[in-house]
Amino acid sequence: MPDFPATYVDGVTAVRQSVRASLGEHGIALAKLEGGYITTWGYDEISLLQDEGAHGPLRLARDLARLTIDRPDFAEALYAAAPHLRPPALPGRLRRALAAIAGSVGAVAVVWLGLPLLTEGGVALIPTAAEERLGDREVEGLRILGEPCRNAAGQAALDRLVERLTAKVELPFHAKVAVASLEVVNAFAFPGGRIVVLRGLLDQAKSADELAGVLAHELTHAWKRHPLRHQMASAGIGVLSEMILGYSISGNLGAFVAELTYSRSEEAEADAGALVLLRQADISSAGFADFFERLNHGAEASIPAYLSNHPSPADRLTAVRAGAVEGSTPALSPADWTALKGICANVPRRSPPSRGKAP
Amino acid sequence: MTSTPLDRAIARMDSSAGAPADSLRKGPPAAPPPTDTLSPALSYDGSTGELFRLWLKTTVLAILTLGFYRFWGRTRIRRYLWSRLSLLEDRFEYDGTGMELFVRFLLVVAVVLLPLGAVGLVLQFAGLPLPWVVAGRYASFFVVFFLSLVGHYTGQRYRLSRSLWRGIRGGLDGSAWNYGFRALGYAALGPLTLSLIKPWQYVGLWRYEARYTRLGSRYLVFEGRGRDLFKAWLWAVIGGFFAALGVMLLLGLAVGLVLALVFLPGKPTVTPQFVLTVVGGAGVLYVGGFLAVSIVWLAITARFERNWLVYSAAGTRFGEIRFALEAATRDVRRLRIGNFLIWLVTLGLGWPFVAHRTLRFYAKTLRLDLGGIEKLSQSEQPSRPPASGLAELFDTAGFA
Repeated sequence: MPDFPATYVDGVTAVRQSVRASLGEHGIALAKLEGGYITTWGYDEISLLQDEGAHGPLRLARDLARLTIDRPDFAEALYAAAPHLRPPALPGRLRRALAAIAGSVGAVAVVWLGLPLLTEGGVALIPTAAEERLGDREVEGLRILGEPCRNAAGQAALDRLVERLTAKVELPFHAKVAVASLEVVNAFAFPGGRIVVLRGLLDQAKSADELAGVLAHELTHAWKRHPLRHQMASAGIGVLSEMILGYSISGNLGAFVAELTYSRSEEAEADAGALVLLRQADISSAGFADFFERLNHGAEASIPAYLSNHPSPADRLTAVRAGAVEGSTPALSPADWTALKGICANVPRRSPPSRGKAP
Repeated sequence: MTSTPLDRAIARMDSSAGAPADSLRKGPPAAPPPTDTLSPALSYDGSTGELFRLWLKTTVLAILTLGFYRFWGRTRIRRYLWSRLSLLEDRFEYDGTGMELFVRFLLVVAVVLLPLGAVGLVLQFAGLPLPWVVAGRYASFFVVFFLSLVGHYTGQRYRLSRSLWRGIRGGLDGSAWNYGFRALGYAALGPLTLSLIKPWQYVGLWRYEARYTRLGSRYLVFEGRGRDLFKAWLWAVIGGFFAALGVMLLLGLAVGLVLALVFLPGKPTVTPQFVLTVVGGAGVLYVGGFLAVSIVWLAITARFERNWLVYSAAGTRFGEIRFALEAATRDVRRLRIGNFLIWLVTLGLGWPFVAHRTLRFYAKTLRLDLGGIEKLSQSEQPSRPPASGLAELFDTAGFA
């Protein structure tokens, strides 16, 4: 029976003893150096203490008792006597790592796929009044869009246009549209039917019909609660990523992307809804299509801004042209359109911060 | 009375007040050193290269598993660090498992994170009156802050309860909530006292934690008074104040210089390059300012921190075992600034190297008098309290 010098602590006191360990058929027998049996560790009771990094002397544990054997040939002798103690070889470890990776990716995928359901549930829970307050708060907080344009005649004209667009539809909320002074070609829908049109877009519009199309499009985004859904999803991603990762840096990144852009299906939905609103308001959709085409092919440097959060594949234009609706009267009277064009008259022009022009 | 370790530590702290920072390391030449029975019985032989390879491996796995592996990675790194620390040539051992950290984390997700997340969503979307929303956000922040203090203690409890030496298991009793409330009290008193409470905070919290820290059935004891450390802290605060003034002055000069360079040649042309320059310059100044302030602050408080280490070691006993710590201020300064930079550059992911450097520092500077160490015996207490998910989430202060 092979015999190895070892150090032993019994798990009860901190006294270290030098012992002799011999490998028997069923276990390791420990004896004092000067002779005298101590105990036997059965092979099924002991575990190997794994080292990280360079391997030191082999250490064995039985409950809290420890045995340290500093002899390179001990390990092989032990594994020969008790094969189940041999550490797993590399292929086994690789298999386990791959299984862990697959399991983790699968778990996250399940959560990810379940997210839309959670979002729908959350959106359904929000009462209209709360959504309107939320939208108001966001619009107030968005000073980055410039000063609000509040020319009374212009606002009255705008309100008439919105009223005409929504008169025959059951919107869940009372839509509020405002113009802000930033000279960027864009318009934003917020929760609760709050819509902000930027001065840049108003300036680009050649007729009230063109603006009506954009408004109908944004109103449908709000009507279908797309903004609320996006914000809900991004907040959900933030919470979930914090749970999975322990922090939400990547969550915020994902949230940012999710919040910013509408999906193709949402755009299609908003276009279709816009055509419905235009038809019911007896406004021609030709202006909408023309404006859309100009935005799509426009050469002006600032026009891609609108496309940045409204992805516009060419087939959208085709769909809008295909579903064209006739109108009998212009969206606004010439006087109202002039008033609306001047809504920002009292507000200083505000160029976009990153696109300054040389004086 | 004059020869207690604590008084000697105070004397040494004071005697070196005007002397070069490393005078302590050489020891007072005239009198025989009072630490003659203390020996550097602690040693640490972790290797940075080895640790780096382990860290790389576990970090890559953590990324591949979208974060799930981090519990197991953390466990493996702790096992490495612990096994490289030895006392009287016997290595420490860490026997926690990744699975228990993970399970505990899931529990905390259910009990703390989901409710907090739900509260956040309600605050964002329920359209509550604005004052309520603001109050709710502050309350959430407060809860997280308090839980981080509690988590520090539960984390320490978990780590100690998974630490063994010669088969004897460590532990930390006491109430994490009690500790949390004390820590919260000191944290609240900080701004009220212009941070002058700090020495009492260190002493009070360590007294509580030490009293419940054990190896086997034997507990640490700490005796000490905040006022012994007050002078060093006062100087740090005064120095910090003037250093902050100086840094702000320098930053102001830098801002002025940049503005002058930009505007003096004439009316600036607002081009994207100009915007980039201004934004980039502001960013560099912001980051540089933060770095400068932090490093200056760490440099200035190093003397106090070193005094605290010397003082707390001298005031702490473990049965008959006494401690002494001999470190120069510049060693503490190098340790803390280095750790801060590692933390910053790796966004906290480099914590193993912070722990590595800290363990090496203690092994080098801590002296023990190991009389009676063999009388240590296993505690009768239930030996493995559950893992702390709170610590996993919130404990960023404790090392490892």
